[in-house]
Parts: sequence; C-alpha cells; structure tokens
Amino acid sequence: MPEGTLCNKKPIDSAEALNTLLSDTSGEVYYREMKSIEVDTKLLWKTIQNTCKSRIRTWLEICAHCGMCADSCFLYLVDDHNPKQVPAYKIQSTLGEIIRKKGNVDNNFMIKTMEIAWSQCTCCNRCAMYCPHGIDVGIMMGYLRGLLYQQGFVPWELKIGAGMHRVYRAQMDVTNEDFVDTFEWIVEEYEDEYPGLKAPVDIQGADIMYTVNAREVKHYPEDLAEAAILFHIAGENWTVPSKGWEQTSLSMFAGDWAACKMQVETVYDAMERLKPKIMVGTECGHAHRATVVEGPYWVGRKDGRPPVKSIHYVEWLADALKTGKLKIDPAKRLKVPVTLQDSCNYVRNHGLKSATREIIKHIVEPGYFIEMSPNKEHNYCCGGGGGFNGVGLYRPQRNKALITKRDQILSTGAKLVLAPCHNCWDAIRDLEEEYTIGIEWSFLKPVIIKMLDIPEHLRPRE
Amino acid sequence: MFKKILFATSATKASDHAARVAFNISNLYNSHMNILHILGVPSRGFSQKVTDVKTREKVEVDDEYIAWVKEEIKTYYAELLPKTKSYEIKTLIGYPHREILREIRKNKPDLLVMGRSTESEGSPVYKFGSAGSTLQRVIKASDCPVLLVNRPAASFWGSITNIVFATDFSKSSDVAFDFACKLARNINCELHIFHAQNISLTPESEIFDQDTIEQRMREKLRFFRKKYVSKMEGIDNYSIEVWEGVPYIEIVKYAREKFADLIIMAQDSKNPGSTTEELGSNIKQVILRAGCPVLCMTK
Repeated sequence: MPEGTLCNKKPIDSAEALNTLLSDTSGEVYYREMKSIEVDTKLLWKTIQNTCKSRIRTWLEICAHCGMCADSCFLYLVDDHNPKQVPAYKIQSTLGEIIRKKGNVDNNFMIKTMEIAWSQCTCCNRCAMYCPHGIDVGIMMGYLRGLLYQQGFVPWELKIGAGMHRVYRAQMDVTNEDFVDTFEWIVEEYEDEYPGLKAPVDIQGADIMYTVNAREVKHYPEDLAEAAILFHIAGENWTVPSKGWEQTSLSMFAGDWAACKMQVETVYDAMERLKPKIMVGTECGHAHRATVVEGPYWVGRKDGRPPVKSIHYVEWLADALKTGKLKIDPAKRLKVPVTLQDSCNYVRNHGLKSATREIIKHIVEPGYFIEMSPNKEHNYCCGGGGGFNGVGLYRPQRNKALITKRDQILSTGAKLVLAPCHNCWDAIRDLEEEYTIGIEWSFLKPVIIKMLDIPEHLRPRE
Repeated sequence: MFKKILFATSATKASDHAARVAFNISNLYNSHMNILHILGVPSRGFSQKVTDVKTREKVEVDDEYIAWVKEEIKTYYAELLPKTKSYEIKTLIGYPHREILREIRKNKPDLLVMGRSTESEGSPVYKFGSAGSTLQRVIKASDCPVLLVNRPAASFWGSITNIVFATDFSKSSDVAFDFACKLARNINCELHIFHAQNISLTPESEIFDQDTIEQRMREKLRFFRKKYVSKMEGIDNYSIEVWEGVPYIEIVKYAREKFADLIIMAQDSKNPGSTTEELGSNIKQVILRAGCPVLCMTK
C-alpha cells in the first residue's frame, strides 16, 4: 500500500513527527505525496458499514434534490450561484458517491472530495434550517471528513492541528506547565490594578471551572487575565485545571475522531477530578461545540451531556450582568455603531442567541446596536469556520468567502463588531486586513472590563 | 549594572537611534547583548503563516527563513556589532509586546532598549482589535527598566555623567528613584531631582495666582528634601529643583540645561496594567521630545 513519508494514513503521535511535518514548508512535499497515496477501499467500506448509521443514510436517501438548500449556503451565494456549490450536490457527489460505489473510489476522487469537504463547506449547518426534510449537510460533511482523514486526505495544517491534540492535548504546542506558568504570569501583571486578583489552579469543588483556547495562552494571554478579572470582580469562586484546560478541538475540524475523544476526555477528567459546580468555556464557538455539544457522544456518555453542567462564556456573562454580579457604568456604555457576530456553533447549533443580546442590552447605549441581516440562528458563517481559516491551500477560496461577512457588516454601518468566538474574531480580523473597511473587532471581555463599575473594596488604593 | 541588555528591534530605521545607544552601553559596560526581533505576527487561525513585519508579506516560517532573517539583521547592524563582545540574535513569532514581555520574564535582562514605533503599527496586521502600541504595552508591564531612544540627538551617547530624575511622587516614582540612586552611585555621576508643578491650562486644571504657585513650589521643595535626600547616601553631587509649567516641556528643558545623558521617570498612568489606556501623556511627550534617552520604570 503506497504511503508517503509525510502524507499517510498514520496519525501524528509524537513531537518529533509533528516537527518533521511542520518543517515541510506549506506542506509542499505533503501535498505532492498525497497525489500518489492509495485509497484503502476495503477499510473505507468497512468503516462506512460500521459508522454510517441510519440518520445519514436516510438523509442521503430522502434528499429530493429540490435545491431549497442552495440559497441558504453563503458559499453558493458568494460563488455566483455556482451549481456545484449547492449543499445537496456537494454531499451527494462526495459521500453519496462513495457509498454508492461501496468505497471503490480512487486517489483523484479523494483529492477532489477533500477540496469540497474543507473549502466548500464550513459545517455551519445553516442549510439544515432551510431543508424541508431537515437534512444537515454540515453534519454529513463532518462525517465525510472523518473518512477522508482515515485515508490520509486531509489538509496539511489540520493534520498538524490534530497531531497537536494527540501530542499536547492542545491545539498548539502549549504544555500543561506552559499553561499554568503563563496564567500565573499574566495574572501577576494585572494584580496591582486589581488588588486581590488571583490565579486559582486546581481548586477542588469550586463553583466554576474555566477552560480556554490554547491560542490565548500562546499569543494573547491578556484574554486569560481578562477572564480572571471578570470572575474576580463578580466575586466568583473559580478555578482552572492544570490538565484538561484546553477546550478546543482542531481534531474535530480534521475529522480525527480518535483525537477528538482523547482531547475531550482530558477536559471531562478535569471535571471529575475537581468536581466544580459548572464549567465555563472561553469565547470560542467550536470549543463549545466540541466539549459541550458533541463531546459527550464522542466519549459515549449515555445522557449526552458533559460530567458537569457546561456553559458558554456568553451565558455566564449574561447572567452576571443580569443578576448584578457585574455592574456596568452606564456612562461608559458603547456609543459607536456596534454589531454582533452570531457564532454558528453556539447560536445556531446551541440556541444561545438571547444570551448575547442580553449582554448587548447592558453594554451598548440604546440606539447604537444594529443587527446584521440575517441574524441570530439565521446568521451566515463568519467565512472562516470549520477549519477554513487555517488552511493555506484554500486561502483564495476563504478570502472570497469573507465577502459575505464583509457586506453584512458594511450594510449595518457598524464601526465595531463584537465577535465572541475565536474563529469569527480571526475571520473578521482577516477580512479587515484583506478588504480594509475600517472596522474594529473585539471579544466581549476587554470591552466589558473598560466599562465596569468596580465595587469600592476591589479598586486599587491610591 | 547592565550585564544583560535586551535590545528589541524591528531592524528598521525606527530602531536606528536605539541601536546606537544599545551598542554603546554594551561597549561601555561590557554587557551581553540579546538582540530580539519579532519577525512576524501570527495570522489566520491556526495557520502556519505569519505576516513578516519588515516585508509585510505572508510567509511560512521555517528554519531557512529564520536563518535568512538573522543574516539580514547581522548585515543591518554590521557596523555596530563589533562594539559588543558577546551577543546573540533571537527571532520570535507573536504579538511584539507580548513576546518582548515573555522574553523579559524568561531571561531577566537588566535593561530593555527600544526605539520608536514602526510606521506600520497602525495596520491591521498588528491590530489586536483595539489601539495601543507595542511601546505602551511593554512599558506598562515590563519588570525591567526600559530605555527609549526616539530622537537622533538622543543617540550620541558617551558615558553617563548627568542623570535627571523627574518625579510625580507616585509609588512607581519611588521605584524609579531607587534605580536612579543605584545608578548614580554605581557610575559616580551627578543626580538632578526634578519636579514640574503642573500649571497647564487644560479644562480640568485650576488656575492659581503666582503667589500660590510659588508657595506650593516651596512646600514641594521641602517635601523633596525630606523624602529623597535622606536616602541619597553616597551621592555627593546632586541638585533638587521644582519648576512650574507644562510638566513634559519643563522636564525636557531642565534635562537640556543640565546636559543630561539620561532622564529617569516612572510611567505615570493611573492604570499601569491596562493595554488599552494611553500611556501617561507626560512620559509619552518626554520620550518624543527629549534630547537624551529616557529610562522608564514601572515596577
């Protein structure tokens, strides 16, 4: 069975293998090798027989090819209504075809399928809302990615990303020691300003266990400090786990099912170990989907829920503002035109649209908030979801995809886009770099810290 | 005193004056020099691409690229490098302020030397969603003194013979004062302690008559002697003065009059850790205008 040295069916399982793959600039050798790796058709068909259950089989079967999904897909719209971008076509011509052929597909087919799976679908699941049968192409694409990953047909960055989770249990090379050290360091940096600010690690039985995105640790630890500040001011009894702190899952984007399970298990283990009342995750969309929505099924939890109640950061924040744990100085509310990016992963797919709007009510001066159109569960993907942001091979397609969000933002006239999701934040940042429309973008934490009415006893002494 | 210098550079014109001073210090005090260049800002999700800070191109950083960048830095500083006996060049990827702070924490240099902001800092490449330059962010959180060299005039540096310590009586000014004394004792130079009474007519400021101003200045001078002189054992040559005016202008003027080689100040923002608030306007203006390097202390 011909396999490449870098591009093959074997998952990355050591730091050494990771470095070797990383040193292949832009995945040049990797993609060259991909052209000649062989499809293990027997394994492919066996996997389908074992894992492709009635839901997906039914969906593939009952699709009436009515085309109602076409206009729901932002990639179809942004690609000049290209019929090849109709969601039903995209899944029927890939997964549908593999199943019809009982796995007998060749290298060429798999490479084309890879392109469709990662550059023509962000797994935003918007089409499912418009399908008369409720068929969810996003879910099926996620499944298809798993088949492609197993056969070695996965974009270079995602093979690396999944490898990171396997080696470090984090999406980047951040070790548990790095995490604790960075967390303590950054809290130290802010403790003069917020007397009593602490970096509580591994506290048993805290009310809240907070989990993060490794990018915060690696590139902008300010985010960790901001989380600490807000919990501190709100008077929460909280902690972070020294192990199991990473909530994200690039392995989910990659279709590396085994790594998905490994990653989310570390978070659940932390829950079992520390026994917090609830878990709060950072301002990240796919992390929520991975750990709170899908994760329980990956590890086979019968109740379909994580070991402890798990909520998204916006839920905690909305509650803290509503109950007065955090108070906003009304004079400091945002007085610029503001819009909000609804993240697919926790708004459309987990129903949290009212949490973000509750927050907006507190922090934006009435009259300054403009909804995007469409919005809430009907909002379009930021343009970089499902791994699209990070894949160099599909950069031109991704940049084109950003146009949808750009135009949505432009028509609101907003100068500030609140984006409580790492992927959306990145995509909006990138669209500003690509198209320069003169906007600012932000997570919620820094915006809220600037307008807090801090109780007297928590203020720094002069 | 300056055994280890961290010179954070963009290896562009913006760092040229700072480079001259950094290499001079290294030469004078036999310091080991750690030349740090943040070569790129990470971009696009978990992508391996970074935006090169010099060329503004999207590049994939590999060993070859790093070696090339290091070679470029060596060429850029070819004339200055012989001044230092030991140096190393390090390149990192990340948001510049954070990586510089990380490096300070890791290697604990005695001094960080930086130039002015690069012109490209306003571009979305650097933008972290909100405003705030690398310089501001570093000064606010740095554990070690930060030496800033903005004007060409400031970069012609021999040894230090006159230090101006400008105080606003804040807690961080006390830290800066201790450092100024330590430095004055160590290199046996003159120390000039200075305070400028703010009488600038901004909407918030009160208007005093001249008698009140002079009365206050006398009081401050008395307070000065009590607060500082007792702690200045071993420093024979010093002067203490209080002037009235717009503080940053008076500091720059005073430094010029005293032929200062160095101004030491504490960063005077009320909000020292914040990454979004502006640096105190006084220190910012002094950095921009001073004819000598300005050393900022926060902690």
